[in-house]
Amino acid sequence: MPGASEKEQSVAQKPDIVLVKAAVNGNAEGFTELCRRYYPAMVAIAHSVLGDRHLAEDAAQQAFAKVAVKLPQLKKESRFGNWLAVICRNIAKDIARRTENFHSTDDFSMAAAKSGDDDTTEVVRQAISKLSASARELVFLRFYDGMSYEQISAVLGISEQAINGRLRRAKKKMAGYLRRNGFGEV
Amino acid sequence: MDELISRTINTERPQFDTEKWKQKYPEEYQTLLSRASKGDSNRKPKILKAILKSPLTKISAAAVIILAVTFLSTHRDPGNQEQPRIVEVAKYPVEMMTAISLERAFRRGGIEAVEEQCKQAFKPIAPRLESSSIKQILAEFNGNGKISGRTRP
Repeated sequence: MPGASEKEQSVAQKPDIVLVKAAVNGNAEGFTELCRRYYPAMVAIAHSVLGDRHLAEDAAQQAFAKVAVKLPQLKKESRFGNWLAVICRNIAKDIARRTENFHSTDDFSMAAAKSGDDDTTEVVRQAISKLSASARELVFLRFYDGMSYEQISAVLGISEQAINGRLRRAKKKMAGYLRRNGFGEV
Repeated sequence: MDELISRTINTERPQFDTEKWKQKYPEEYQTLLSRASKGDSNRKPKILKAILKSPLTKISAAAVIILAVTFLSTHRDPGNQEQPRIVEVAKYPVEMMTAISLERAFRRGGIEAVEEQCKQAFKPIAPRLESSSIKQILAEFNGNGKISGRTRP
């Protein structure tokens, strides 16, 4: 169906704010396009909290379900990404509490052992787990799907300069951890 | 460092499966679709929303309301205003003078001053009531002092 693909393309080209307005008025296409755009970021946020990819995907989908209902309550359409991220983060924390699967060093070590990763990967995982929740979230967003600073800024609601600074501090902290664990200059 | 982190956490890009999501959350999807039929009716009117959204427009709206109320209260149509009722106090010059003198006395010292004024006014008349004729008394009331041979103070 060439007509349908053309329509899909036109929806994909629309800016977020237009899609949010359409979704508020019950436009399913607009809403699913927003889901497609923000799904990787939401999975990354949930993964940074839960430490598990499948649970993270569940949390992201649950966040979209909640947003589908609560979308008319959104005051500023331009803040959709940030609003969605807050919802997703809270859902991930709820899941973590329920499943008692809070992100910890042990979880990372176990994941590494299961996947048969080498020592370096395991130590890097541990270094990530030592970061604060917000710094870990930022690292996941940046490296999970190679998101740009602009995209991260839309999701976290902070400036690109702030993202750059926080990311630099997080990497410095990780480098310190790696040095203390027998790694050279990284 | 970037490479190490990427190697550790970089995984396959997650893809959103719309159909799967619709099946998993049918109620939420229906809620989303139901808003299409309602349209904008459940949202606030645009003008009101615009006014309530910005603090500047809120202040402007309040200022306009205050100005309108002030203007209406000060420049009301005089035709609609109730005219003050004129009390008929006196028909003749003598009565008018009496009223003025009583009013002045009242302003000076209240009802006691009015009583004193009356006492003083009737003092010269009282002793003459027995001896004077009605014609003379009437002449006194009309201020014609020549008939009685006396003048008012």
